[in-house]
Amino acid sequence: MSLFRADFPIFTHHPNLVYLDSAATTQKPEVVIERISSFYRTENATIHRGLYPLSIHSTTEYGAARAMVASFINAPKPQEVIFTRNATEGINLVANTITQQWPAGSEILLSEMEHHANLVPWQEAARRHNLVLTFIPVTETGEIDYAQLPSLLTEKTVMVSLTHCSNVLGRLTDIPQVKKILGEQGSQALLLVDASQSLAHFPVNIQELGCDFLVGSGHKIYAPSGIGILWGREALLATLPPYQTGGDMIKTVSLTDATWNDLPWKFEAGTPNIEGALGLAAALDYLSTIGFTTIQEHTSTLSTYLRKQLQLLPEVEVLGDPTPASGIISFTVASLHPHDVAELLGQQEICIRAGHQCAAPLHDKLGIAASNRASLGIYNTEADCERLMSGLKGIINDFQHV
Amino acid sequence: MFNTAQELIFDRYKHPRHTGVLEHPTHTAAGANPVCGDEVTLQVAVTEAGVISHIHHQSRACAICTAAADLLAEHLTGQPVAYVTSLPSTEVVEWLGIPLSPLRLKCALLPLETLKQAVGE
Repeated sequence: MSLFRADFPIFTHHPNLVYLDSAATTQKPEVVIERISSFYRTENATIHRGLYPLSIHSTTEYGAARAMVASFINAPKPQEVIFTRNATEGINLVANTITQQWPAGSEILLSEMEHHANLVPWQEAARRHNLVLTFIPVTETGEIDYAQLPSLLTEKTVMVSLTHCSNVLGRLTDIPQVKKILGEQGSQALLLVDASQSLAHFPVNIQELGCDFLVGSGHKIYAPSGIGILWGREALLATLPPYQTGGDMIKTVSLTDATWNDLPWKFEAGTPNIEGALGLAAALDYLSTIGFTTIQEHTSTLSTYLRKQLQLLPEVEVLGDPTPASGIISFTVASLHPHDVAELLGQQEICIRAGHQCAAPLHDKLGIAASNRASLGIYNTEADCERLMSGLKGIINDFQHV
Repeated sequence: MFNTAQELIFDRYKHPRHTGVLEHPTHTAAGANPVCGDEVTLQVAVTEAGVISHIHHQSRACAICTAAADLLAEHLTGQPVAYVTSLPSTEVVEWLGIPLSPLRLKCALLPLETLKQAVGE
């Protein structure tokens, strides 16, 4: 039994819900829901502008949320944390700004298993600025081919942008190893890490990773949707032009000109998702209280159990990390399309994902059109895994008798 | 246990009646739904009188798409071509006999859209 299930009110409303789609979005603990509601009920005012106490309070809370994020990822300065809408927007921000400085022919190195969010923005930037995309091959178990990395780094490589944990194959990329290889090769390339799937399951320390940018989405770490984070080295962010322009990101404005505000405001145009930031801070506080030792123990134990159970079914092929610790387990079922499997399970209140999971090139590489994915959160239990297994067995059995 | 409607669909999926390659098709079209990977090819033989004598499908698709293709082939064989172009999507949904979410509706209608493309030329 998960100690934490009771913290999530959705399971009181849907007691038979087997929610195994946390990699798509997580459920929210009462403390996060309460933080958002209480903000609107008792504290609501915009940030920055007001001189009255309510606004000063909002501004302070929003700043504290930023500091909370910085501390969570061990960033040295809060102004290096930009609030965005989600990880996708964070990558778009970098891809649209930093690429303006690069000469034509510059190379961006990605992997074959990236989520579309860490692929398409670079494709667009490459088209616009005549840049070249190159790709590190990945193994079937979700490891990038570290041995090939040196040969893929050229003097034209300006950026390496990688997932910290594949949303399909569920395996952690050894970012410090990547950084080490960059150093050994004398590469000047910057390193961006997509931590969308790792932040909820592993302690993510930007200083340990050695990256230059990191993105994440609040809704995948028990926080509300519509809030994300982009962390970037202060010296780098300072060189970038703004992404969106308008209010708050300026210092002075005339009819013809504007000057930009300092970090982090330069990258936060308009009124932000204040409730989202506060909700995110509450979620990070909730996770910090539990502690990553406990989180990791829960996730890896349950992942290992589920993977083993799935492997026992001859009709099921399990993809990805053989020793899953991220809670992400993708699989295919012989003769049955993933959409049919997911829909039939859905009718039994078992929620799993089906499709290409926003990683179509990876599915091309694996030679499949689509897959199913079960992904675990802090609220999942062994009973959830049992329900999934029983549901799957039933479907497979019924299909065999058609 | 599958209910009756589910059983019918999976039966069509597992044992389609109208698959295979047509020897002399007069019209062919292929359709795909990139979101889920459904792929369906329809081959039609239309007589000089404008009547569909044969429809065959080759589907690499989910149960709903495959069943829809098979049911389409069954219902439209012997019909005039004009019947295809005027066939409403609600008809296909009715043949399948289950409620369809917007996502699955796309699967269900892919064969009809592909067929309309095939004979529309």
